[in-house]
Amino acid sequence: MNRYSRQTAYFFTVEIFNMKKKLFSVALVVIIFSAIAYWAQKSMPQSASADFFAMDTYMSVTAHGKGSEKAVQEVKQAIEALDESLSVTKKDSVVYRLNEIKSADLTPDTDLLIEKSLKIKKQTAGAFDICIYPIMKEWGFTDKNFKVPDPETLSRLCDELKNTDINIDRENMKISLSENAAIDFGGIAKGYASEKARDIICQNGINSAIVNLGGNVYALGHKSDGNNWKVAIKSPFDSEKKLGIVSVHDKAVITSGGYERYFEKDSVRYHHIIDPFTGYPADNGIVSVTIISDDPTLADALSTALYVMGKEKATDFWIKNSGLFDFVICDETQNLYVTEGVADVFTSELRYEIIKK
Amino acid sequence: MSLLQNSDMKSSKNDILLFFVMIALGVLLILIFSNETKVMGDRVRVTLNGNVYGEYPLNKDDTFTVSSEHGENVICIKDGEVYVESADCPDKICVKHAPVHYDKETIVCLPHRLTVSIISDKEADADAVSE
Repeated sequence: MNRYSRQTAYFFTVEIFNMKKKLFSVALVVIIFSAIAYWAQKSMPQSASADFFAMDTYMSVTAHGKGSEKAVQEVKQAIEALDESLSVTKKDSVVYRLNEIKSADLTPDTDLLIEKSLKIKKQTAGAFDICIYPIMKEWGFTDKNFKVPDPETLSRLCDELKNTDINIDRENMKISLSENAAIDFGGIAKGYASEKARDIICQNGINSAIVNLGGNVYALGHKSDGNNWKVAIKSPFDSEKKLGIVSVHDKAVITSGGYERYFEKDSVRYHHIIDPFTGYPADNGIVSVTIISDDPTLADALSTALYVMGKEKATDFWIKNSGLFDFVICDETQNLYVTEGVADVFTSELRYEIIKK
Repeated sequence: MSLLQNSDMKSSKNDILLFFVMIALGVLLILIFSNETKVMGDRVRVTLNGNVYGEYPLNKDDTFTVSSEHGENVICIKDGEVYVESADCPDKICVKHAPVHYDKETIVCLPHRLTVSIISDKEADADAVSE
């Protein structure tokens, strides 16, 4: 009896020991699994986005990867600061002062932008011109008090435009304008902002992001699934439809369309893309120009310039500069033209013609 | 002998316990990984000044007013589409905008700093729209 109970006690102790061991291993498993789960969640692809209003439009920046939250916030701050200095309507902006007193301090942003604007003006033989501001103002596109200016005023302003001069004095860090000149970075600022956004995101070590500044898109790297970004081009005829989709990486996709901003007077529609040679809205059959380029600033300016040029001149310009950009152009009779550099990545339900060199 | 058997039975009981603990862990892991409680189906997201104001299912008809220091927008969800029914903004661009229902489509009211956009769980056919 005694022996038997001793044996029971022995087995009982072993039993408890075994149970403890089991419990211990269960606890260990729990700890290991939690650690794995925590680590897995930590290393799971992170993403962050910032949506905000700046430059008179709605902007959305989404980045994927470690540090994306910091990156998108930096982008937001940088673009808001840029808006403060480049706005033509904000009274303490560099551009406002420059237009009022024809002289202002040179900042790194205005230096770069003016230099690039003048270069593109030369390249496009004046189809893109930041000095068009007095004409835009006359039409009311700057303050939304729309009116159709009289022809004499427009031809006078066009003549004045030919003689405008912008001077950059790097020694004294000053910019100055000739007497009747006034500038507006409206046709290039969002492209420049995209470029800044891209640089900030890259500096944060992120290689996947989509930057959409009111329809001016920059696609950085690839999507988290490794595919190209799909950027749709809005149809100028129906805001619910699209002209097509370009699948790209590391490209700006920037569209100019007369459908974006316009007003109607006596049942005539006047859009905001003004031809610097006539002073009137460009009227050459084009209704939408999309530029696809590595360079967002160039893409923004060229979308306006090619809209002003018309399809024939735009094609000639592309043939000479095909290394710099590609385009998708839509005319009023719904003909779609796509340059060969993007033909492989462009898809559309519509019929389109591929332009070759 | 019988005691040994008993011991085996106990340990197999612990095995069963371990089995359930593993299942519980699995469930826990799935919960952790699907870190957000996802609303299924398409929904409407309204933002004010870049901050999310609210999300609403697209398949449930609804009319509501979003007011801020800038003004008021009446948003209407009907037949799987959303549009701005009325607003006291100066340009009324948001009211003129066609109803939206595709993923990432957005109606913007610049004067009121308001956006109404579609968020879909279905794969979008585009990541951004150039316009």
